[in-house]
Amino acid sequence: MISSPHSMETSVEAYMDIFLEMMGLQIDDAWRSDIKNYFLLSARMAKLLDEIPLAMTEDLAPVFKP
Amino acid sequence: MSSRYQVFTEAGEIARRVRSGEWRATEVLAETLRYIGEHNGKLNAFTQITEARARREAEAVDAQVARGENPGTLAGVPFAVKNLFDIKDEVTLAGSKINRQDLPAVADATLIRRMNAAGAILLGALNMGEYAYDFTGENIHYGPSRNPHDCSRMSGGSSGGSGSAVAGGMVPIALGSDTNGSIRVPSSLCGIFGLKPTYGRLSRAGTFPFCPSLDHVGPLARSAQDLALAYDALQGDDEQDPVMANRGIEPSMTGLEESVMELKIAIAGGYFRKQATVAAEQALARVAGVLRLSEEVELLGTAQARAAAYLITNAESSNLHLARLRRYAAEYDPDVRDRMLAGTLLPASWTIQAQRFRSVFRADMHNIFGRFDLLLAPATPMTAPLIGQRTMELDGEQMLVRPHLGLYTQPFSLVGLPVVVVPVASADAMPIGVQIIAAPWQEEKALRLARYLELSGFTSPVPHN
Repeated sequence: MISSPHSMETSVEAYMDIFLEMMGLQIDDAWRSDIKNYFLLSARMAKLLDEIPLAMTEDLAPVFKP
Repeated sequence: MSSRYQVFTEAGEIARRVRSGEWRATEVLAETLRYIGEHNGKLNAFTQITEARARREAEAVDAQVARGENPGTLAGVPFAVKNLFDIKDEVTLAGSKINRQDLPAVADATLIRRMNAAGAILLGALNMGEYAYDFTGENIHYGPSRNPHDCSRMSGGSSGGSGSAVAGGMVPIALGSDTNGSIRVPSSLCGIFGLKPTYGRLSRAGTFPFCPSLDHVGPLARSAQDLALAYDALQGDDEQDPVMANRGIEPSMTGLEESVMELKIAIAGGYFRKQATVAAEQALARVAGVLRLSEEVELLGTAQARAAAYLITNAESSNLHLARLRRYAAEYDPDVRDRMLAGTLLPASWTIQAQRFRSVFRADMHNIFGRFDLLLAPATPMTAPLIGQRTMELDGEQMLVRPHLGLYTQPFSLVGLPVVVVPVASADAMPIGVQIIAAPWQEEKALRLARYLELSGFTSPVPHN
């Protein structure tokens, strides 16, 4: 289960440090604020989606066929 | 009609006159190159002009006509492509500095070959937002492509050069790509027609990917007829693109001027009414007025559909660029880089939820299209912002321009629906577009309505200067 974006916001700096290192990504300190803001924008998007309960039977659409 | 070719002539007219021998493709090309030379410094639409190749292609078309052969439906028509399309022997920049180190393309993209096969003349590559992650038409490495109706304003992105070149009269047809709105946003801001086809309709083979499960390619043009003409030439099966539906060719030109009276059309409400500026509302009202529409349908889950498209784009593009981000992060446009770096951090659950919601929204839209043939919605919430403008106010909320200018186009990208943008122009105001959304594989209906609206006065405005 994903964390709520609100609780994630408080620890997002630490989360960024850990995962950027795990992904082998090095960043300049000057980029940090914008990366964080874009991550928080994604978190808001994820929260919107989280508000719609999906049935357990609802498959994902990784290769989309209209 | 002048006896000599002039810029802003429609593609269909050029092709007809070249086929008849009244105009020579080489003369059309010469005038087009002269005009581009005069205006590209101002609009910054082209990043490369493939003049020698264009001359060879135009000479070949003239030779075909001289032999009594038919060069095709686009005989002698100049066109250009967003610089993420492979052009044989040229480096595919995709708006970046990093790609300059790549080897030149070994073959043309499929859609360039299709345009050439119909007799069209490739003039070169067009400016775009870096790696297509953009709604503004700005580019830190190559400068912004500019809006021909006001050069201080954005062309829209990411196919900004395509919008600028077509609206500015440099070419009657350009090709672009549209992942979340990158054909439709520049079409709206520049006041031209644009088509994002059904996902899997037109081949993306030989284009630089951005977000494979959302990437589309399509044409932009100054008339609905030219849009349909290009669309028909671009269709066809292609095993080189794994998501192609390979439905063969379903021509749109033959029925383009047939009646639209039987079409059931509704206005998309709810989400699409919340953040529109007065200009966007008035444009939609004008189109609805001509069609005498009043029925409004609320598409439940549209905000979530937009959110899902945003997350999928963020995650997929970041994954595609991961190796480059590790090595060349400082070489990216900061606005692209920082968004992609953020995308590398997304929990898998967020993107899986987005993909699952995609199935739900697809089913909802299928139900809507059981009741209606077409939907109308604004293409952008506002007319072209100023170049360099970072934020905009919509419905009382300040938000960044770059990630949010496509908030009306993104939901339909999520489920791969075909959409045509029709320009709405007013005296002394910047143009803005209206989207015509159809069910999967029903491009013909959207193009037919676009043509009807064009004949009703919704035409692409010629820039004053």
